[in-house]
This record gives sequence, C-alpha cells and structure tokens, in this order.
Amino acid sequence: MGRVLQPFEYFEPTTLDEAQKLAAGNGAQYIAGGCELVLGMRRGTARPQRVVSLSRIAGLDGFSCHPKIGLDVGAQVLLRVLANDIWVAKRWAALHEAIDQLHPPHIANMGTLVGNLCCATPYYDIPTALMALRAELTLTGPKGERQVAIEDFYTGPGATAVTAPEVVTKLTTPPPDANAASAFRKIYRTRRRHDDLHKINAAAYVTLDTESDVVTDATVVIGSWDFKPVRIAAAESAVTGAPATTESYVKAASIAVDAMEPLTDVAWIEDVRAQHARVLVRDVLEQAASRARSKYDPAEDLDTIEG
Amino acid sequence: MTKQIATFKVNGRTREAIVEPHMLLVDVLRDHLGLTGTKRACASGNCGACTVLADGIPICSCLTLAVRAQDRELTTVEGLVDSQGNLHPLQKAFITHCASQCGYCTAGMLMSASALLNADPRPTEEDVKRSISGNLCRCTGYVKIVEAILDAANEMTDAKEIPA
Amino acid sequence: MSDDLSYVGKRLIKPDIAAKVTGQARYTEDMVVPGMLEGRILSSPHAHARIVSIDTAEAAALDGVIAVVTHDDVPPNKFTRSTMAEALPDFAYEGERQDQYVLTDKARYVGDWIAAVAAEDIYTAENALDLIKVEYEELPAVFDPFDAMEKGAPGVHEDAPGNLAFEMDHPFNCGDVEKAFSEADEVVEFSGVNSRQKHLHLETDAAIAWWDENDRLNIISPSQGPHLAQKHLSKRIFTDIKDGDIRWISPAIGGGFGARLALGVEPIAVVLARRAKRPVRVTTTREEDFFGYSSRTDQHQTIRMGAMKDGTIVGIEQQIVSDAGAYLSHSATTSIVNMQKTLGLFRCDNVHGHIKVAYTNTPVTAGFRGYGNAEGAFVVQQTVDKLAEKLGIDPVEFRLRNIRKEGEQSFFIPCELEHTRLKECIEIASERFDWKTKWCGWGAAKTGRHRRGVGMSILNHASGAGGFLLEHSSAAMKVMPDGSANLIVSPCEMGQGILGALAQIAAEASGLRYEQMRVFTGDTDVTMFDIGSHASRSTLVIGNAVVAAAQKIKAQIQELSVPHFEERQVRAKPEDIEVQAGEVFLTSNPDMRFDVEEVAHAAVYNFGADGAQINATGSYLSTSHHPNHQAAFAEVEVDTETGAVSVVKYVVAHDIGRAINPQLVEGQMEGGAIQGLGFALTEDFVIDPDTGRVLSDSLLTYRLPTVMDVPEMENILVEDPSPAGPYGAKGVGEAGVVNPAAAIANAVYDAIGVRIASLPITPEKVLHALSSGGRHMPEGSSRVSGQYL
Repeated sequence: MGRVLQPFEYFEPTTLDEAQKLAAGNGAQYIAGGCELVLGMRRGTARPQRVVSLSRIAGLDGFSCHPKIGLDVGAQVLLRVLANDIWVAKRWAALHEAIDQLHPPHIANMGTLVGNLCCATPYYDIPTALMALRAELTLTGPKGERQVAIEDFYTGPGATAVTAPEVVTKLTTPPPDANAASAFRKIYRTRRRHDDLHKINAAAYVTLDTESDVVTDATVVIGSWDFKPVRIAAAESAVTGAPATTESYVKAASIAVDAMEPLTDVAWIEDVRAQHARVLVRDVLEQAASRARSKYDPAEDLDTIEG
Repeated sequence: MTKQIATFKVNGRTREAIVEPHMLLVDVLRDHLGLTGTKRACASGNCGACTVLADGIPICSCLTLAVRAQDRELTTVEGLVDSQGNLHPLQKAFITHCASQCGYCTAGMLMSASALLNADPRPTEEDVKRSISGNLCRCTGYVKIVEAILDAANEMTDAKEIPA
Repeated sequence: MSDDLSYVGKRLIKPDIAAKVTGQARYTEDMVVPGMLEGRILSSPHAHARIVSIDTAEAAALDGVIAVVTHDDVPPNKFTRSTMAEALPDFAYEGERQDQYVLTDKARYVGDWIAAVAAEDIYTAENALDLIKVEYEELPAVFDPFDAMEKGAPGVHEDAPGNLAFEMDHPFNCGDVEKAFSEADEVVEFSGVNSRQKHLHLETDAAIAWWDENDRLNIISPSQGPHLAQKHLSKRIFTDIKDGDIRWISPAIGGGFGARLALGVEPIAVVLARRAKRPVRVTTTREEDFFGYSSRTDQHQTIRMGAMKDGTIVGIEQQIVSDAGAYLSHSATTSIVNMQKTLGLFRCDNVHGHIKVAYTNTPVTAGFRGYGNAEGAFVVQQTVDKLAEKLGIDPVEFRLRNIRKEGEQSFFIPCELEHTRLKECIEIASERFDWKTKWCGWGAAKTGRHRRGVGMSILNHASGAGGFLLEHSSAAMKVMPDGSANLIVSPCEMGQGILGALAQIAAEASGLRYEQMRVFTGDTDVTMFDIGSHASRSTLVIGNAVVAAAQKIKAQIQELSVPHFEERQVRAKPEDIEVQAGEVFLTSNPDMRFDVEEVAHAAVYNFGADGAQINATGSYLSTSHHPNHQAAFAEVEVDTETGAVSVVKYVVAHDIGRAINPQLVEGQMEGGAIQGLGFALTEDFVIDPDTGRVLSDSLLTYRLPTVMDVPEMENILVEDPSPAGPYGAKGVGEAGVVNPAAAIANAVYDAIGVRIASLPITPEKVLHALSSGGRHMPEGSSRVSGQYL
C-alpha cells in the first residue's frame, strides 16, 4: 500500500486481436477507465505485470439507447455518457440513479460502465441496477463472441465469467416493457467487521397491468451484501401477480430479506442490515411501480432511432 | 511502452517529460512539470483535491496514468488565470468571500466549479453544490465556497450581457 | 461595532489567500531541496508482536537505495509525539509520558513504525520497503481500554503495569459530591463515549530534513508549533543537537486541527538525513494517516449530576477512562482539559473528577480541535438535559439558571471570570432558532416515519491556556522606507486566517496601512519563541504582543513626525499627533496631514544625522484562560425506518468579545460546525475487534461531510469587547466543533425518546436504540473503542 505504483508494461493496441494476444499471458490486465485498477495497483491489491489498454481499439465506443430498442453500451463508453442521456434517465431510471449518486461525481467522467461491472467490487452500485434491468454482457475472445447474463457474470469474490484473454466488448439490456419502470436506492453503513461492507443497495424493475394495477413482472435485486448483487427469485414471484400496493412490497421485502445469507456472524449487525434491506426493497418496488404507473411519455412514440 | 518522452498539453502549452507507464498524472504534474497547485490528498479518487480538467471535464489526476493523458487538453489551477495574468472570476470570488482556509482543497474546488460554469453559466445553488459534491473541504464548512461560486457565476453572466 | 477603527472589525482580505487560489502557496510537499531523497516508512501489519529479526540486506542492495534504518539506528531515547510537554511546567509532566522510540523495538499497533528507507526516488523507496524482511512473533493484543486494565491483560508497555498510562484526580475537586447527591432532589447519571474522529487535514503528513552548509539541521514540516517541536526534538530525541542548531520552517499548512501539535514524520526524516548525509523528504499516504498517530482520543465518561427542585445544580461528578492507543501522546492532557471544561461550565460547589488513561494495541490517539471539550460536551450536555427533564424544566431555562456570571470563579479555578456573554448567546440563539415554538416540552410524543426534534448545547472554552501552559508571545515590527511594514510573528497559518487578523491588529495599533502589512511566520530562525497555534490562543495572546509592538511603532512615528510638522510651520508635540491608516495628522487639525512614508523614509535615509529604521518588539504574557462561550441549537429529522439522522437547522451564537475580522470568525464557526456535524453523524473510526486493524482506512469508509450535508445554518457573533483581548477579542478557533454532537444528540432524544450514548450517531445505533429502548448492548457488539452502541 504505497504512494505510487510499481512498474508494469503498458500497451495500447489498436485491434482486439492484438489486445488479446498481448493479454494472453499471466499477470496481464485490461484497462478501460482505470479508476479501480489504478487504485488497486497503488493499494497493492492488484499487481499486474502488464496492462493492456482498450482505449485505441476502434468499435468499442458505441452507445445507443432507445426505449423501443434497448440499451447498447460499448466497452469504452464513459459513465457520463449514460448520466447525460435523457432516455436512460426516463426509462432506465435505476441505472440513472446509480450513476447519478456516484461519489465523487468525477468517477463518471473517468470510468466506463463496462469497466465498473468488470471490477466485480462487492460494494459497487451499478451492477445492482443493471441486474434489475436484466442486462447481458458480450464477451469477445479469440474464438468469437458469447453472451453472458449479468446474473451469471459474477462467479466469486472479485471473479467474473471472463476467461483471459476475453474482453467484455459491450453491455446490452432489452427495452423496458411499455408499462414498466425501475428504481435504485442505497444506504451508507459503517463497516464493523473485516467481512462487512460499508453500504447496502437495492434495485427493482416492475411491470404493471395498468388496468388492474397488478404487478405482472418484477426483478428484485439486493447488492453490497454478498460478493455480488443477488436477484431474489422468491421476492419476485411473491410480488408478481400481486396488487401494486405497499402491502405487497412489504411482503416481498420480508421474503427477500429472509432469503439472504448473513454476511457476518454478529447478530445485531445482521439485524440492522436486514432492516435496511427491507426498507430498500420495499421502497424501490414502490418507486418503480409509481414510475411505471406515470411513465407514459408521448415522446417515446417517435419512430426514429437515435444514433 | 516503457520509459518515454511524453508530451502533455497543459494550460495551453505543450510540455514534455520523461514518464513511465506506472506514473500517476498527479505526480507528473507536480514533480515533473512543476505544477504543484494540484494537490494530492487521498490518492483514491475520494476527495477531489487533485481535480484537473481533461478536455474541460473534471477528472481525478490521482487515478489517471500520466501516459494516458497525453492526447487530452489539460487544465490545472495554474491555467485558470487568463493570458494577461488576470485572475479567473472564480478566483476573485474565492478571495472576496474568503472561501479558502488551509487551501489544500481549493485547486480542486476551483477546477470542479470552473467546469460547471463553462457548461452552465447560470447554475442554481443545487447545481453548484452537486458540482463540488466530490470535493471535500475540512476547513470552511462549504458555506463560503458555495457563495463564492454563485457570485462568480453572476459576475461572469453579467459581464457577458449586452447593456440595453 | 461602531468604534472609530480603521481595520479592526472589518471584512478584509487575508494576506495568504491569493496564493492559495492561484496554486502558488507552498506546502511541505511542494518544496524540493537540491539532492533530496525520498523517504518512506515500513509499518507493522500486526497489532502486537515481538520483532524477532529484520533483514534489510536486500533492500539496502537495491540500486538507488541510500539508507535503510531500523530500531538499532535511531537514538536510544524515548519521546512522546505530543510536543506539549515542553509547554508544561515540570510538575505537570506526567501526562506526557516519554514512551516511544523513533522506530519501535516492538510492534504495539497495526501501523507502528518498524523501519525506514531513503532512496533516489519514491518508486525505488517503496520497492525497497517490500524487500525488507521482518520476522514477527505475534503476541496477544488488547484493543479496549477497560479490557486493558483488567488483571492478566496483555501488557503494551513493560513499564506500565495494568496498562495504566496516566491517572489523576481533577486538580480543582471541591466540596463533597456524595453528600451533595444525597441531599439533592434529583440525581441523574449518563455514560457515553466519543469516537476517534480523524483530523483529516487534507495534506498528509510530510517532512524534509537536511544539514545545511553551516552544519545546522533544517526541517520543513507542517508543524503547528515549530518552536516547541524544535525544543522537543532536541531535548527528547536528538540530545546531541541544541535547539539553536535547528532551523524549523513551517510553511503553508494543509489543515491542522491539533494534529500538528504532535511530531509526525520529522524524527524519521532527521534519522534518514543523518544516515544518508543528504536531504530527505519523508511522505505518507492517506491510508497511513488512518492507521497512524492522530485522532481524537476516545474518552469513556460517566457523569452524575444532582440538582434541587428549583433547578440549582449542587453536585457534578465525572469519571473518564481514555484510550491512549499504543503510546501516550495528547490523550492524558485532552482528558484533563475535558474535565476542566465539563466540570467548570456550571456554577457548582461540589465537584469531583477522575481520569484514567489506558494503553491498548490500537493507533495512537491525540488532541483535536476542542481538545477534550467536544468529547465532554457530548456526555455532559445530555446529562444536563436528562436532569432538566427529571425536574421538568425547559433546558434553556435550566442552563440559564446555572451558568457562571462575571465576577464568579472561572472554570479555571484560580481565576475570576472577567467576561462572559454566554447568557446573551443562549437568549439570542434560542430566539433566532425559535426554540419556544419548536420545543414541545419534555416527553412530547412524536409519531410517523420521519420525526423531528430539537436540542441545544452550550460551552465555555479557553482563549489560550494562561497559567497552565507557557503562554507568552512576542512580535517584531519594522517599518520600511516606503511606509509599508513587516510584522514578524509566530502563529502557524493552517487556514484559520490568523495572519490576516494579526495584520489588522498591527495596522490598527500602529496607524500603518493594512494593505502594506507583510506578515512573516513559520521560521524559528526569524520568529520569536511561541508555543504555536492551538487552544484558540493566537488572536488573544499573539494579538496582544502585536498590539504592544505596534503601539511602540506608533509612538516612534509620532515622535519622528514632529520635525515634519515643523517643516510645515506647525509646532506639535508627539501627543498632539495621530497616526491612522498610513497617514499622520494633527488631532486638533486633521487637515494638516501627510503620508507616513515621509517619516518612514526619513528615518532611514537621513544622511548626517543618527538615523534608525522604525522598529519595535512587543511581548505579552497571558495569565488566565479568558473564556469564550457559545450556545447552539439543532433541529434534526430522524428516519425511524432507516435510522438516518439529518440536521435540518443549526443556529449558533458565539461570545467573541470583538471580531477582528467577522468574515474570518464566521469561517471558523461554519467550518467548526460542519466538522462537528461529521463528528456527530458520519465520521466513524472503526477498528476490527479481531485484528486491531483500522477498517475505516479510506474516505469511502470514513465519511466526511460533503457540501450536500450542510444544513441551514446561522452563525451569530455576540460582540462586546472583553477587557483582556486585543481590541476586546477572544478566541473562536475551536468552539465551533464542540457543540454540534451534543446539540444533535439532545435533538435526537427529543425526536425519538431514546438517548444515543456513543458517537457518531449512525443509522445502526438509532435503529438499535429504537428497537431496544436504548437499554442494553447487543450480543456480540464490540467494546473496541468507538464501536460502542
């Protein structure tokens, strides 16, 4: 844990092939925005011998977002691009909220969305939001591309489904249902044990039958609890088919919390965490449903696709 | 890429320095280019003291590898004064409002605020607060900083307005 | 205030600010000395371990490494980080145990210094640290002061049985508290503890040391008291060096808040510079700052207080157990000051206080702005409210009945309270806060998810510790031939604006222009002895020395002006002449005037006559504490579902005597309030109860207030000149940080009906208090410092 970084080799290839050749050996690491990697190298948690930049590779900076088509974000797209996008704010509200609350806001100017996911840092917010939005990642390796759902992306503490020298080239999410919306929230906590985390977050995606005001589809995710955000199937099925009322959300929240494994073996810490999770899950469901109810925006009927 | 003569565009000038890939932008600015106005306080991207502008956008120079900043237009606190050496309206307002105590956060505050005013000449108080929400100050309690930025914004828009 | 003053009381621009907004101000890390090496320190990964062996061969052999040092290479003298020992009389010394080496013989906390390296560049220095091989034998460790004092606890220091670092009774104990309590109508007890708030000066610790061509030791570091540091370093550590052989430069300081009253990395820089025979700059990281040697001392306090039905307090007792961490720095002295302020705030004839300070295997605690007062206020102000509730008296009224009046004894017993406007502070602030409307009475039931509450707190604080510390200061002034002046003083400018305040005082008292006043400070070769900037002392103590010097300057100008009036065909005696704002004029005929430059120039360039530059020195010895006071009111909103507390409104009135520069005073109050808000709500220093490692080691996990956390605030200056201060000014530097946590805690109680007994008031503590009624400590909760529920 020093003031400076120890030396490494650094490359800025211009093609994906070249990048993958350079990253093929052990001890190589890709760098996109670099926020987490540079910090990790200074704090000594990352010691790559070789750092391969994605910044000069053409075709990784694609970004498109349309409520009828979906979200498509290339590996080099900075978080600020999403933060400033009106459709992300309107129809991918959970994602917008997660980015908007980044501290400090400078991180959005430096970090990429894909890079944020690839860090696999347990207390990050954006993965929670994207899991609620059912994102999918495209991994490109020497043998071609493959799609991995975000639920399957995190394989262990700090580990992802990426097998070297694969590159996560983009992230996509389907367009939200016409009667659906999402929400994200977090609460800062105090880290009280070495296995504890300093916050907890949650996100939800809710589709309503606007006629009957019944939830027809939902995703419920709690993050900063385990090493990765967790989708709570039991809570999702509890709320699906239920009337869009606070009672339903409270019930779903209870079920969600019951389904979570404790993070520490200290009862009172877990009690508080459970209470926070309960409030967060209820609130994100409520907020998402409320947005779903009021979301109709004539601008969405535009036929044109941006970008 | 190992040791190299790197070229930086800083404050409107082109500067060269011998740089290795593992060197941080904050250290290269301070130790190699003599621009010590940029401060290093947490080196983790949490406090904003090392904020500089890259192509007009605030970034943390402590989380940026110097070699990767070569093709960007960098602005540091030393570049806020105009070519005649006149202080930026933000700097003047920080002086009159006494918005700097120990001064360690000041450069970062000024850079974040200048990016805001470049993008939005008529910010609300909320906009101002958000723009510096990633810049920690341990001395002032932020009150006079917010006042100074709002004052500078007025000053700058007044100056631009064409008299009737 | 409406006196006929040119500069005092005005919002003038402080002299150091222009350099700060242009990035030109030079801090320690901005300095480069030719040939300078980079020094870095290796610290212990274990909380308690014997060092079996250290192998430095590989590190020393690394290309570019010039020196590697371990315990064997440092002076065999023990010292304490606190430099205050040198400002205390010998009999008061025990509170400053000399108990550590520059590099340790045994690891006593995670972060203890084991070895250090100096190399040609920092990359090599850090690489070398990795190559030092240390074999440790881990020892059982203790992380809690109560556990540490238990029989059979692991010993942190061989010569401190029972891990007791310090113990004393309050020197001003009086009366019989037990008897008072038995006779009182109501007695309440409250226990609480503050957290180890980090100073979090944004500038991390650094120092440069070298021997110059005259074989003198030069040190550059952000010291708050370089004269004391100079003495301490030479007397305690490097006993072969005389204090005069050290030139200590304290440049612009990136925040102090008390941290820089203790030695930081300077001794290591000296050891490395001596070994390397080159200048060495030692730097640290933010993480090392968190692991290291500066935080508020956590003081576990139990306070009992008794009163009669009419609201008269008849007895107060305070028991303090403080955690020094692995070495005793300021933790004993801050505990003493806590007792002094806490037990002295109210008029009371029966007072008892007792302190114990224990060693633990945790980072070293120290003195922080407020110096014990903020620690005490959190507990005593809640005790006061508890007692007021039992008596059914409005907390404002209860405090008004018991505060000390002028002419009564001061909290610092040997002195009379010569000046207080605390009553006015309470009245004005409660009025502006609208206490009468907002406070719904004791036990008012509040319901709903979001509940509002109001609370208050009051304080007295010193303006310098006259009679307790070595409270004398000196100032020198010389007038340049152009009528400008150089003022040489010894405060440390950490941002508080003291250079501006002193320049305003100097200009006012001398009659010279403020705009032409240059202030020099922070160089022990130039400035005169002074114990540094702390204890809210600089404006009053140094300010009075400046007045003394400036008045002599004025007298000289008056004297020297006589012939200049004669040249104008006017006969004047010196006492007929006034000097103001750079102009000399006749009191009886103000139109007869000329610029002071004429006199200043003639004083130097007077060929043939016996010329002398206008110059003077002045000194001041403070013999009392000259208390300043403050009353604060807070309104909070508690989210009972998440436990989150937010401050809605905060109103403060401060008994400043007179504001030399109201803008600078506001800056101190606003900054102090937000620091206090962090102390109250978010700044949580957490030590892992299993390993003793600091878990809050970054600004992600240790959260400072941001601009988004600033509530609606009102800072009111209650101005009425005090007899002791320069132009009536009293101190203000520390007071702001004292009240917030106490007022907020009382407001939280008003909102939810449960008292929070430890700082910070985090969501988890509030939730737990709500579910348990605040009565028991939950199973498995830690007793490690700062983690009490």
